Amino acid sequence: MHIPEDLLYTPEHFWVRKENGTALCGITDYAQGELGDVVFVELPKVGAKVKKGERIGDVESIKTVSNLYAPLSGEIVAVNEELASKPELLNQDPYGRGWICRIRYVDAGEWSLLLDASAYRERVK
Amino acid sequence: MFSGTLRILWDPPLSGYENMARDEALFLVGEVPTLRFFLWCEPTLSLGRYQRTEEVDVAFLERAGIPFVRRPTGGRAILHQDEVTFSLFLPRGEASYSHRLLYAIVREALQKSLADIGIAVDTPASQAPSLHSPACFSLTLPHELAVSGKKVAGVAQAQSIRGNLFEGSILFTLDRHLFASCFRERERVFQELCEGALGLREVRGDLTREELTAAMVTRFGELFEGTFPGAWEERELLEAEKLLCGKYSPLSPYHRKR
Repeated sequence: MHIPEDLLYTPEHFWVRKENGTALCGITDYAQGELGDVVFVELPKVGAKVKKGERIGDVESIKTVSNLYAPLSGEIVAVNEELASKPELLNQDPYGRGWICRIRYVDAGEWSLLLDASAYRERVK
Repeated sequence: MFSGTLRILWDPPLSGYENMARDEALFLVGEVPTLRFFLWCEPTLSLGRYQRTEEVDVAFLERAGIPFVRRPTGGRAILHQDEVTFSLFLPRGEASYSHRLLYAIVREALQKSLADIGIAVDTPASQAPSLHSPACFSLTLPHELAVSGKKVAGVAQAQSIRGNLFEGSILFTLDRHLFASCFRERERVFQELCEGALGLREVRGDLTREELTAAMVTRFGELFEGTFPGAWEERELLEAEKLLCGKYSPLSPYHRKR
């Protein structure tokens, strides 16, 4: 299970990377392993205003629909359209080509609520 | 395994829209572990949450008067006719396990239930078949149940931070022609159903719904500190009513999305 040191995490198994005032995010390697082969991703809508912890989409694997939750409050400014035709990218490259969305966050204080790599590792071991 | 007692709900025959609205209401506002048995007031096709509508022959369904409804859970389409249909809701406190482990727990309870009524199921497959089919009963996944290589029960799931919802269908009789006619690829599906699916009455002709559901109440109850015959809570029914007027109304675009 790969947990990059330079990312932050939510208990709901999202990773977050700060980039130029936005947060790039996706699901963790642990999450993709638990889910199994992902066959569909329901992406959030670009322009949607989301609150931390709010459901922003779904993934389907092994006949299970699993909800995805916003790691931070803000506006969805981009989504990974490639996942529509290649949902398997979530399994193959969860921290790279399998990214899910980019959020322009509105509350910098919420970053302190995210877990660092060692705290996330403790949570999933 | 789980704390608390399992509420058992017995619903009368309802439309597919009402049935799915009730399941989603459990998923959204349910607070206690619940095993729900329900019936369909007419043959109904249910589609998986993200299944493509184009896989279904909508014109045939309309001609045949078979409504179709989208489930809150994943997976592929099922024509609900003569079967035992159930849902199981596990609130997060009860379901702090992976969805795959929960599938295995549900499978074992179903396996024991069928054994109690004299039906031995196959050892689970080690991995999922790689084929794709629009019909749930064409393929048996490792968490599902088969007899002599033919699928008899399908189970799908939805999970959120509130808990896990399972929906399951255990076939009593299987009208392969009608089932296959619901799909654009009817010939292929018919062949798959002939080769890969079975109604339990083909195994035990005298099987009754009461026998199977009683065994299930016992076996699922063993996962908890027993069971109790429950009733819907008012807020659950209000939520179901709200869903029935919106997302699950018969004319809702939700059923035809994708």
